[in-house]
Amino acid sequence: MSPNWTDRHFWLVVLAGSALGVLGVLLAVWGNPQNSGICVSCFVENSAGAIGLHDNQRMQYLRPELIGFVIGSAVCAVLFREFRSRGGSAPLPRLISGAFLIVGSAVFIGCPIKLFLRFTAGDLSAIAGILGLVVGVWVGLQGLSHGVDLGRSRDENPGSGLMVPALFLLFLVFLFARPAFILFSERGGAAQHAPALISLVVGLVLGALAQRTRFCITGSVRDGLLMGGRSPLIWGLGAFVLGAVVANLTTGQFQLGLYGQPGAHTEHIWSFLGMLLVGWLSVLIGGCPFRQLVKAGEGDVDAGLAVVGMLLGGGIVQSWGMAATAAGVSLPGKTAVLSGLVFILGISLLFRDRVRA
Amino acid sequence: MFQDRFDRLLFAGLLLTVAVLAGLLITAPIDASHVSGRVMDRQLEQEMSYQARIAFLTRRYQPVIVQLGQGALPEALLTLEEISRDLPGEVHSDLLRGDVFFRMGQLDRALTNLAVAVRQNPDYVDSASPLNQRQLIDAVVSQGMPQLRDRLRAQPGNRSLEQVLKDGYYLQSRLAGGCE
Repeated sequence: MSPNWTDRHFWLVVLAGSALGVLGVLLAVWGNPQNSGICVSCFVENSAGAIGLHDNQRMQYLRPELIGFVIGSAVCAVLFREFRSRGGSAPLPRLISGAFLIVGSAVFIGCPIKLFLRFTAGDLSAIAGILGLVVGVWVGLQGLSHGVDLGRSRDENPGSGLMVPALFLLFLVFLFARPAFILFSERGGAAQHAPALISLVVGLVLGALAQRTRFCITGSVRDGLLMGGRSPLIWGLGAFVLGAVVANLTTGQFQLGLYGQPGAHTEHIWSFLGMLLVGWLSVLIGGCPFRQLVKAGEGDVDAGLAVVGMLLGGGIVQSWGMAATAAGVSLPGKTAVLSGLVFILGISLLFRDRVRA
Repeated sequence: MFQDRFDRLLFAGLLLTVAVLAGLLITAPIDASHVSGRVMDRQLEQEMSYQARIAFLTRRYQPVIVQLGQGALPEALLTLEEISRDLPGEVHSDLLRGDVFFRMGQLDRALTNLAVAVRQNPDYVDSASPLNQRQLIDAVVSQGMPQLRDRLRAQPGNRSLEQVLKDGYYLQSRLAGGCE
C-alpha cells in the first residue's frame, strides 16, 4: 500500500500539495480573508461580481489567483507539449455542473481547497463538509462503475482550447488597467486581498504545478478511495494538510473550535449536502473547481465550459441569495443544493451506459 | 496557415482590426464621461446613495448619540423607540440599542440586538466601512460570552439563553473574518 518512493512524479505531487497548503495559508496572512487564502468558489463569486454578473458590492474583485491558475497551467502545458484542444463531451451538462459546483461550495462556504484550509486552521465545523465530500466522491465512483459517463471528448480545432486562456488573459489586462466597467469592492470580503502581483505569482506557480501533477483535492480523495496509499495524489493531500497545519500554527492562525470560526456556519447537514454535491459532480466531470480551471488552461474545452458555468453560478448564487453566511443557510441556498442533487441524479439516469455496466 | 489568397486576406483584416482597436484604446481620452457612462453612473449612484445613507443615519440618530454621551441611557432607549416607529426595519436602531444595553450591563440583550444589526448590515464588523463598530461588538462578545456560558451551565436547556449564545457565536464568527 505504499507509493513508489523513488518516483519523481510522486515527489512532484507532494511538492504541489504542500505548496497549495502553505501558500493557501500565507495568502490569508498577506491580505486575503481569514481561512480563505485560496477559495476557488469565493474567488469565482468575486470575479463574477467584478465583471458585473451580480451587484453585491461587497463581493466584487477580479481575483488574480484564478487568472494565475489558468495562465500558469496554459504556459506549462505549452512548454511541456501537453496543450491539446479537446472537448465535445456533454457540453451543456458540464456548463450546468459548473454552476452547481459553485452552489454546493457557496452553501458550505468554500470550495474543497478552502474546506481543508478551514479544517487545518482548527475549524471543526469543516468536518461535516469533509464527510460530505468523501461520500460525494464515493457515490460518484459508484456511478462511474455502474456506467454513468458523460461521454468521451475528442480532439478539437486548436483555436477552441485557447478561448478560456484568452478570456483570463483579458481578465489580467482588466485587473491592471482597471477599466470603468470592472467593479472593485471597497468594503467586505472582496476588499480584503493580498497584493495583486503576489496573488498572481502564487496563482501562476500553483497552476503550473497542478498542471504537471494533476493534483486536486477531489482527485486525491477519489484516488485514495480507489487505490489507497499507492496513489501519489493521496500523499499530495497529506502534504497539503501537513503544510497547512504547520503554516497555520506558525502564523498564529490556528484556532481549534466548532463555534465562532471565520466564514463558517453550524448547519452541519447543509455543509454535508453542499460538499456531497461538489464531490459527486467533481467525479462526474473530472475534477473540483480548481482542477476545472487548470484543465481549461491546458486546452480542455469541456472544462472551459464548466469554468463558464462556474462564473454564471458565481453570479447567480449572489444575485439569488443562495450563498450561506455565518448566520446559516438561506432557503434559496437549501433549495439550490437539493436542485443540484436532482440535476445530478437525473444526469446519472440519462447518461448511463447500461450495457457496459 | 496561409495557404491561399483568402487566408492572407483574413489575416490582413485581423491585423488591421487589431491595429485600429489598439489605436482606439491608446488615443481614447481618459475622461470618465467617455468611458462607459452608464457603468460610471451606476457606480457613482451606488457610492452616493451609500454616503447619503451614512449622512442620514448620522443626522437621524444624533440625539441618541448625544444621550449616550451624557449617560442618559433610558432616554436613549425611548428615543430609539420613537425612531424605530418612523423607520421600521432600520437596523441602526438595533445597533445603538445593543450599545445602550451594553452600557446598562444587560449583555444578553446587547448580544441579541447587535446580532440582528450585523446580520442585516455586515458593514458594522467591517474595518474598512465608516459604519465600523468592531470595537463595541468585540467588547460585548468578549464580556458577554463567558457570562452566558456560566449561566447556561447553571440553567441547562434554557432555550432563550441558548438562542443568545447562538447570536454570540455568530458575532464571534463575523469578527473572526473570512468570506461572506
